[in-house]
Amino acid sequence: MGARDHLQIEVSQEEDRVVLALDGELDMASAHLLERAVDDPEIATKPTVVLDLQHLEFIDSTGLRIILSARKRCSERGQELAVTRGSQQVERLLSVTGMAAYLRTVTAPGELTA
Amino acid sequence: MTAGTNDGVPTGTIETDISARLDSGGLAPSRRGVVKRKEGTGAGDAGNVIAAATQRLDSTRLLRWDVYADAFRHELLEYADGPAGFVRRTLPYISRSIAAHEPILVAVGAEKVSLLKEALGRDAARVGFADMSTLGRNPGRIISAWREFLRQHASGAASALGIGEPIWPGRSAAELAECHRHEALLNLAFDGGAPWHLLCPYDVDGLDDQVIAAAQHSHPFVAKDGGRDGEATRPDLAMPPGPLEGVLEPPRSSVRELTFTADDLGVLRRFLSEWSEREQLHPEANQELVLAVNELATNSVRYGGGHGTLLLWREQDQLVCEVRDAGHIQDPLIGRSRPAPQQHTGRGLWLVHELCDLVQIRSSASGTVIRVHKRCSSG
Repeated sequence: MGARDHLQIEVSQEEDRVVLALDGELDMASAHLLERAVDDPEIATKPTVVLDLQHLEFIDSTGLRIILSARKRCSERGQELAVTRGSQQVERLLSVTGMAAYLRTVTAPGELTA
Repeated sequence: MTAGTNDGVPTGTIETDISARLDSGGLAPSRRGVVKRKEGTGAGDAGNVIAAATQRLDSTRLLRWDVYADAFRHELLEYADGPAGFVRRTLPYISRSIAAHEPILVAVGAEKVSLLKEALGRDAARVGFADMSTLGRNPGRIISAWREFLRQHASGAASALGIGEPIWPGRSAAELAECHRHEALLNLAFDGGAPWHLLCPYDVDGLDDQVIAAAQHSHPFVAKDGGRDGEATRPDLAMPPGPLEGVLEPPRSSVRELTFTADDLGVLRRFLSEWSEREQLHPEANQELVLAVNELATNSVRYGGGHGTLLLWREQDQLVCEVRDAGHIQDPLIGRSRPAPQQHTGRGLWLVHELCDLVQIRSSASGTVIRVHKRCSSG
């Protein structure tokens, strides 16, 4: 089973943000897909990047590391990174690592109240 | 004074009114400045229990303690007579630290927490409490918790007091083995760092003699029950075996086995999740176990030669998962420090400790074995 089968990333450009919707599992095998998606110049054009985690079924510490790298990458480009809430498994990892408080969290990809 | 055993560390945080006596003993002035202790006045606004307890600490013993107060002091505190004896033995130390305005964290069983709070009265608000049966069920989490305590409450403080009881009657043989390793690792983790006092109460009535004997080898200071409060001797510290050395007992029931490479992590997670579900592990615990074992397998792929073997079996009410690979872990304190949120790496084994009820790591040049336990009982 290839990495593409267990993680799909759908990119959508909104007026003030770009949304990366993650579907599947974010682990060592699929991490490079998110890395590549964040590096894509076409997502660098909006002030905010939202990672939509609502359909992410699994994430581990490698996935978390990639999200932290993405946050740093966005910050270097003058962008802000936000994440949506995720599945129970995703929320558990974010809370146990203290990441839930550290990352900017939005309830839905369309909600970006400042 | 028998401070000569302390190999020339005697630069204490010294109370002004006893410093003259310390000076006459040839001690160097404080490196860290003088702490303004308020022994007498501090007890004045406390309850009778505190006042009585404070009085029990005469100045000679205070002086002994202050000699060491510039270093980490890991001390075994033997007690008898159950929870009441525990309170009787620990209260003088707590009272003294309260009077000295030190940060205090007490991590013991829930019953002892209640009794101590009762004995401390309104001074209980000055003390942090944690239920060790939760915090320290997996002893591999405890050092991380002490580090957090020191980071959050004791940075800049002259000293701090921790009371932690990682071993209680009823601990399994595997838990005891890890607790003893934890006690030895505390020395490695905190020796040479910020000064603080960690007291480890041991129930001499409830625990086997060999448990007490093992603990005496991991504690540089031992306060015997029946000895005077604060009196401690430094036993000959036998060098403990390397914290990651040794072999684990082989499984005693039938084992399921799966070999894996980088391409199989998803398969491994499903294999484990289905087995855990059949074994009636609670769904949330199942998720935690899958995440933990996924972290171990990822480490095998990344650091352990690119592949590994997963073994699964049941031991009474516990599911046990073991990951073997060809890696060699060098850092005995790996996973025992909570990574800061902005830290990118080094989270895997810390997570495993957080998520599992027991973690056993054995590693040498011939490979690494990590065994994790998850309790099946719901709740």
